[in-house]
Amino acid sequence: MKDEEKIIKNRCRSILKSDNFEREFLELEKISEKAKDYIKKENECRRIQDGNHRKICSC
Amino acid sequence: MSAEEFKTAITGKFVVADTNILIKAFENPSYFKGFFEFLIDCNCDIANSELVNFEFTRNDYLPEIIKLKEEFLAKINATFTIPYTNGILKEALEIAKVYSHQGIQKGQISLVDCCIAALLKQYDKKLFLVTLNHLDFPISLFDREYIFPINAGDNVMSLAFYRFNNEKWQKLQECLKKIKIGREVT
Repeated sequence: MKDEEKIIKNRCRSILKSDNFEREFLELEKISEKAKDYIKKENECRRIQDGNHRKICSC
Repeated sequence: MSAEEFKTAITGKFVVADTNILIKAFENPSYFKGFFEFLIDCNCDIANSELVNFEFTRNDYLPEIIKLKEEFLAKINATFTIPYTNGILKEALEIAKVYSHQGIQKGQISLVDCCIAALLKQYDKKLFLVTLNHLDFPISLFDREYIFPINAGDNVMSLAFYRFNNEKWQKLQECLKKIKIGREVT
């Protein structure tokens, strides 16, 4: 494959070169929402762990 | 530079999205929809930079978040990666010397930002940077080509596109060469 063809092929994978920007953008929003959910769960888990730690440890 | 002039200047070229942009866009993509549409209108691509990717993911340890961030990067970046050569660190050090001579506070501009500056210097004809941290890319060395505002709820973000200016660089190098202890020879 020629370099020029490679560049064109590579560019096609980006949202900026997508045939359906709106669909791709929705996917971005879903990724962001999933991340927020995971972070929320992780923070909650840490808060509980810290709470348990404080209950059993005097440090 | 007007929007139309800027579009002409950036058409067919690449832009590095600084880490701060990626972080904000990952947190709130909806604020950046207009920005992505603007880039489409400019017919340019977001270049993949290992340096920026490192900063973007360095504080994550949850595999799920890391995977989502990789998916996010894959969606917005072109797969074209800016070649990272052995000479970049040496060039970054030269740029850091210029910053130091200009009295920029020690450590204010990080190693990664010095390396990004070195990449912008190396590919000054093809590569732009877009960032929210304007102090990290001083206009004594860069041209601020265009400002793109984003209405982000209670906040307003000012994204600026920068390009390395080799003429400014040459002048600053000439100035550095003339330095002697205690005074600068004009």
